[in-house]
Formats: sequence, structure tokens, C-alpha cells
Amino acid sequence: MKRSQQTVFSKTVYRGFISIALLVTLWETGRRLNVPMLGTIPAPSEVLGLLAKMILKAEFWENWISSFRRVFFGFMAAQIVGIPLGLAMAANRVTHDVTFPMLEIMRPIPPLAWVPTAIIFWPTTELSIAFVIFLGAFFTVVINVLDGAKSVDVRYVRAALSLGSRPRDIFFRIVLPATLPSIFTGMAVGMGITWEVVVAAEMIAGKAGLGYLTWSSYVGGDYPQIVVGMISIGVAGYLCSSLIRFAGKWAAPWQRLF
Amino acid sequence: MCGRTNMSIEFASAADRPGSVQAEEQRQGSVRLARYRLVLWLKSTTPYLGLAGIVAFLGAWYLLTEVLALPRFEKLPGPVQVWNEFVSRDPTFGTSMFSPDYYKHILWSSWRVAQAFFLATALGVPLGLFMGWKRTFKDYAFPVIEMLRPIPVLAWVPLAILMMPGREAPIIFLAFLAAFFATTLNTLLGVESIDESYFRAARCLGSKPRHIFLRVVVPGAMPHIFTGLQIGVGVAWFSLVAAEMVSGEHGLGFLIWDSYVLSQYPVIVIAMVTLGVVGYLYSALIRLVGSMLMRWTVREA
Amino acid sequence: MTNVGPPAAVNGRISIRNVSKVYDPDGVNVLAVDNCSLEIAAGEFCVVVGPSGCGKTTLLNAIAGFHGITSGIIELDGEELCSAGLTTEPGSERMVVFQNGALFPWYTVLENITYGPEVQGRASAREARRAASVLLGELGLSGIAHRYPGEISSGMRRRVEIARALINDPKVLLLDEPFRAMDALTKGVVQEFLLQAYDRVRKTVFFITHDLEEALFLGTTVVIMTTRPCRVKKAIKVDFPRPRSYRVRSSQRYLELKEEVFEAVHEEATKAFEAGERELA
Repeated sequence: MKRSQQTVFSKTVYRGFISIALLVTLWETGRRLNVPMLGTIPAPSEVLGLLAKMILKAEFWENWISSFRRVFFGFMAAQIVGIPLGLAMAANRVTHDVTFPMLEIMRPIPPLAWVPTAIIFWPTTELSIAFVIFLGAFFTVVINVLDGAKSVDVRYVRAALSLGSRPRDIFFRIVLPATLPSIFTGMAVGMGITWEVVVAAEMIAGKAGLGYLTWSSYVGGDYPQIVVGMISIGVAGYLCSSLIRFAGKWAAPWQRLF
Repeated sequence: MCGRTNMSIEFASAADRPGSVQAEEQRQGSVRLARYRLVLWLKSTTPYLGLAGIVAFLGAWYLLTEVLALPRFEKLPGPVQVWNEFVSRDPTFGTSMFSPDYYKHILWSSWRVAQAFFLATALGVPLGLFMGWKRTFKDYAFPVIEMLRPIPVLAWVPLAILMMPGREAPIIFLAFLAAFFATTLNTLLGVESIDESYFRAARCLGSKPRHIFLRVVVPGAMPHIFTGLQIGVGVAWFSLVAAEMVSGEHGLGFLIWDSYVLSQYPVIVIAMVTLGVVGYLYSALIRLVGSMLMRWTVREA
Repeated sequence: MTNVGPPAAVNGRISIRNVSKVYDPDGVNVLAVDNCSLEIAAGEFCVVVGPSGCGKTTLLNAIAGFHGITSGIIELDGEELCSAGLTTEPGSERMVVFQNGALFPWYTVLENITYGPEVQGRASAREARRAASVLLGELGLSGIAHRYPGEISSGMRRRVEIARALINDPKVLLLDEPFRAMDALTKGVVQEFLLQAYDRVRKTVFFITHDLEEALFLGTTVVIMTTRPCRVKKAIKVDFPRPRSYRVRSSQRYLELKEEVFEAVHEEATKAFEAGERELA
């Protein structure tokens, strides 16, 4: 039994609006009064003004497309390799025992530490960045799928066996659906990591994209644009995560979230 | 007790033994159990398959880079190359286990992460606890956090450099930010996952609010708090490496980038492996502290 | 009828009069309790039975102070405890033993028991420990004083929880299907334990169960509730002498009472089953 949420829906939302509005107002007033602590951080009005102008320019959206493309390829690759591997590891003890130690050794190495190696190895910058993204999401995916598949209640498997299922049925009709929520959790977390990596990789070695936009704004001294870049990345990441959450609910409608 | 005596007999012998003897027996019992489990593990195929997996990986790496020298692979440093470099007393590229610079970089990175981590814990855990305990506070604080969270930590690099003085502060700030979100949110989750019955029982027993906070909320959320701390330390390392690569002068992240720029490829691998090991040790340390503080969950297994 | 043990208690008389409770789990008004009236004498062991989800827990929660009532009045020893405008905060004079157990997993058995006295400021840490050790000894639980709840069996956990309640000298003991999740053998032992504790202290007990045998074995009065919304359907006096032994279960009178209770409950259970509503937590 979870702690019950007794507050009325609207009170929570109302308070949320108030606190955000308060923060933005303080930020704006602080800049107008040139409060020293805020330094050279641009004011919300400047940022919003610039954002309104940039939305109309094509190159702004080209950056979006660049980042999204990298995210998509790297992320998809991680799912395509990671999900089957995780399932195979859960299903087959030998596969698990052979691959698990090596994975656990590689996992603590931060994905960005791979950037130089990736650049040396892959012929193009795009591929290098996609590879690093792949690594970032890959480990998360495998761990989540493994956990999910291992924790399928054995009673469901036994019930299936009693009902005359073949191994193939058990896998596709019991283990796979039962693991779906974990797969989507892995995807959601992996997506968060992916965006972190994309931004960093673009800052270090990119020539286009939202991370590159943010970094080059700093280098070029265009401070409001830095914040525009940050907000864009935040929104982009949030959209992707929401998409995954939505897909998860569609794929596993039986998951009731209390 | 009037009437039944058989129930008391069950415990009569246990009641006679003083507590310390019991505790000692329990300790010896768990040592024996651990030894038994170790023997069982060694007798199974698991450790050997794992070893085979590692050897296969190293073997493939060696083959592809140094023996067969396939087109794209030949540029990468091979395991033998890296190892020789690492253990040589006069390393070609200046970094091996015998060079003081190596340890200097490790210390720089470790110290930065430690600072970021402690800050994140000192701020994040109380914040999370308070948000979980007081709904009103959460309503005001949570939306702000949720709005800032989707922004990747590294997107803050330019702003951090602008806001903070010097070179160290921005780097630590970035690692702090990453760990902060993980810590706060996991702590919050921990408080919210405490079964309502515990709160009710505490109220029945006459607890005042501070009792409920200190004796129910804090211990009840501990397992989640420690999960959050482990995740936090992991992402702190993640962000730190990136920050060091972009704008550092010391540290393992800087070492990786610098070696790349100077074409000292084996050092890249040395630094990567070191990162993995140190990062792992940090997580293991936190897990250890957690298991010591939460003896009630360890024993449950 | 001879009663062995201390004289009847003078505290802990509960009076439930015309109590109704409406609540609103998902935006749909649910009438959980409808004009329910019940008198429980001081020191009486009152067992409440009825189909699942009929609202018995709602009554218990109202007495305990976890939520309020929509109309009617609940009095404890003549003083108003609960009414439409008043809900008394939970306190140790109305101790609850929960269904799934609420022993704090992060405290040892001893620490769980000393919690109440310490937190209420009624005793210093040392006094509380001494009193707790004595109580554990009397209840035959000394051996597990330094164990964590996660390390002991569910039967022992339940006993510790009862001990934790008793050390606070409550006026009323509220038990919400405390033995529901136990196997029959463990259940039997813990039931006897509860009866022995009851015989010693003679507190008022409000005990919810859907096990009819348990109800007749434990209770002085068995109250049968209707299906939701709950009202008192029938109250049956169980006049077996105390202390009760398990042999009482094979007596003729017991079988007669069991049949009487069963018929009353069965009718309500069938109605609930056909209504098919999801049980309220």
C-alpha cells in the first residue's frame, strides 16, 4: 500500500506554476538590477526574444535534425544489439556466464572516455559519435532487460507449461511480454544517457547539432544563444523520453500505474 | 504465563544464553555460510566461463590489432602494447604505473568526484527526504527540479564556466549536478515507497512529527537512498570525465584527451581502464557503507 | 460460568452509534458504513466478521483515528472520540496490530518494543529496555530480542507486534485480520498466545477476521456485519469459559454456534460475491 496522495490535483499544479513563475521572475529582476552573483548569464527576456527569432530560421532546425539523427542511429543500434543479448543472457546460463563478467568490467568506463578511441577507429565523425552513443545506451539496456527477464515470476512459466506450451511459446508469449516493461524502462534511461552523450560528443568533436550550437555560442560570445541551446536540448530529450513512455504504455497496456 | 508451558520451554534455553554468545554464533554461522557459497561457486562452471569470456575478448582484441593488423584496427593500441607500456619503468609516453604523473591524475579526478559527491549527498538527501515528507514542499520544489533535469548535465558546461570562478569550480559543479538529481529523486522515491502501515503504527505508538521523520522516514528510505548514491557516483564520474575532456588540465579525462591529441594511444587505454577500476571502487565503497548501515536488509537474505 | 483471571476492566468501553462513512476513492462516492451501531463493553473481546470489503476495516480505522466518519458518533469511556466534526489523532490508548505487520524492519525486536514508551516520553531508554525485556520474558520471546524482524518467522513477528502494543498499556486493542496470512498451524499457536495475553490484561479487543472458527475460539461476542455498506446484522454471545483450550472446538455448543454464525455470514457473502465489486483495500 503506497502512501495515498490526498491533495487535490489542481493544488499541486497551481503550486508548481507559482514556483516556476517565481524563479523566472527573480532571475529576470536579478539581471535587470545587475546583481553581481548572476554574472553574465542572460536574462529570460533576452533568451525568449532570441528563441522567437531563431525558431523562424532554417539552420536552427537543421541542428535539431543533426542531433536527432545521431540519437536515433546510436540509440536504435543499442536496442537492436542490447535487447536480444539481454534476453539471451537471461534465457541461457552459459551465454550469461561468458558475457556478464566482461560487460561488468566495461560498464564503469564512462562512454565519453571512448571518444578518442572511437575517432581513431571509425572513418567519419558521425560514426564515431554514433558509436559512443551506442555504448552509452547499450549497457543500460542489457542490464534492464536482464533484470526484467530474470524476475519473471516462475509461476507464470509453470502455468504455461501446465497448459502445454513449447519452449518457443514460453519465450514469445510469457517471457517477452513480461519483460516489456523493463525493456521500456531500459529504453527510457538509455535515452537520457544518449542525450547526455550526444551533447558532450557534439561539444567535443561535432560540427553541427544542438550540443555544437550551445558550445559554439559560448565560444562566439553569444550568451543568450547558450541558454536557447540548453532549452532546446532539454525539450528534445524530454520529447524523446515521453515518446518512449507513451510507446511503453501502448505496448504494455496491462501495466497499471497506481 | 498461566496454562501453557510448552511454548515457554521452546525459548527457555535461548533465554538463558546471554546476547553476546548468540551474536558470536551468528557471526561464525555467516562466515561458514560465506565459505560454503564460495566453494560452491568455484565448483560450478560460472567462474570459468566468465574467465573464458574475458580471455576471448582480450584474445580477439590482440588478434585484430597486433597480429592480423586489420585496416582500421591497426591504428588502435593492442593489449600487449598497452600492458608493456603500463609496466615499464621508462615508458615511451611518460605514463605507467611507475610514473608519479599517473597517480597525480587519478588523485585529481578522485578528489573532484569526492567533492561533487559529498555536496550532492549533503544537499540532495535532505531535500529528497523533506520533499517526500511534506507534500506542500514537494509541490513547490519538484516542478523546478523536473524542469531542469532533462537538460543534459554537459549542456551546462558553458553556463558553468560563465557562472563560476576559476577552472575547478565548473568541473566540480557539473559532476555535482549529475549526482544531485540522482540522489534527490531516489531519496524522494525512497520516502514515497514506505508502506503507509509504518506511518500508522508510528502514530499509534504516540510519535511526534520529529520521531516519525527520524525513526521512520529516514531508515525507511535508506535502501533507496543508497541506490541513489550509487547511481549518483556513477553519473558523477560520467560527467567529470566529459568536463575534464572539454576544459581540464589534470585528471583522467584530461589524460585521455591529451594523449589522443599527442597521439599517445596506449595511454588512452591505460586511462580508460583506470577510470573503470576507480569508478567501480567508488561504487563498491558506497555499497559497503550501505550494507553496514542497513544490517537489517543484509540479514534478510 | 467461571472466569479465571483478573477482574473485568473498567476502561475501554466503546460506543458506536449511527455511524456512517462515505468516501471517495476514485471520484465515485462509496458508502462504506451505513448507520451502524454497536456497543462494546470494557474488557470485552469483540470479534467482527463479515464478507471482504464490507467496511469493517473502515470502522476500525475510525476508532484508531486514521480517518473520520461522515455522521454518527463513536465514544470511548463516555468521551467523544469520533464524530462528523471531530477525529481524534491516533494514540497508544487505541493500539493497532496491522494485517501485514508493521514492525519496523530497521529496528530489532527489542527496539521495536521500546519505541512506544521512549517516543511518548513515558520512560527513559534504560527503563524502557528493562520493561521490554521483562515483557519479552513473560511472553516467552526473550531469545529473539536482538533479532531483526526480517530474521524471524511470521508467527513470531505477530507475537512481537502484540507485545509492542501491550507495553503501551492501551485501553483498546484493535486487530485487523492479524493472522490472515498465516498457515493454520502457526495461526493456532499465535491465537493461543493472544488469548493468554488477553487473560492476563483483560483489555477491550476489537478483532476483525473472516475466519469463523477463529472468531468463535477467540471472542466473547461475535458480531456479524452485512455486506457493503456495513451494518450490524447479528451479535452472538460466545459463552465458553476462559481460559479457553483448543478442545472447546469439538464441543457440541461450539458446533451449534458455528452453524448459527455460518448461516448469517453465508447469506451476506453470497450477496457480496454476486455484486462482484472490487474489494476496498
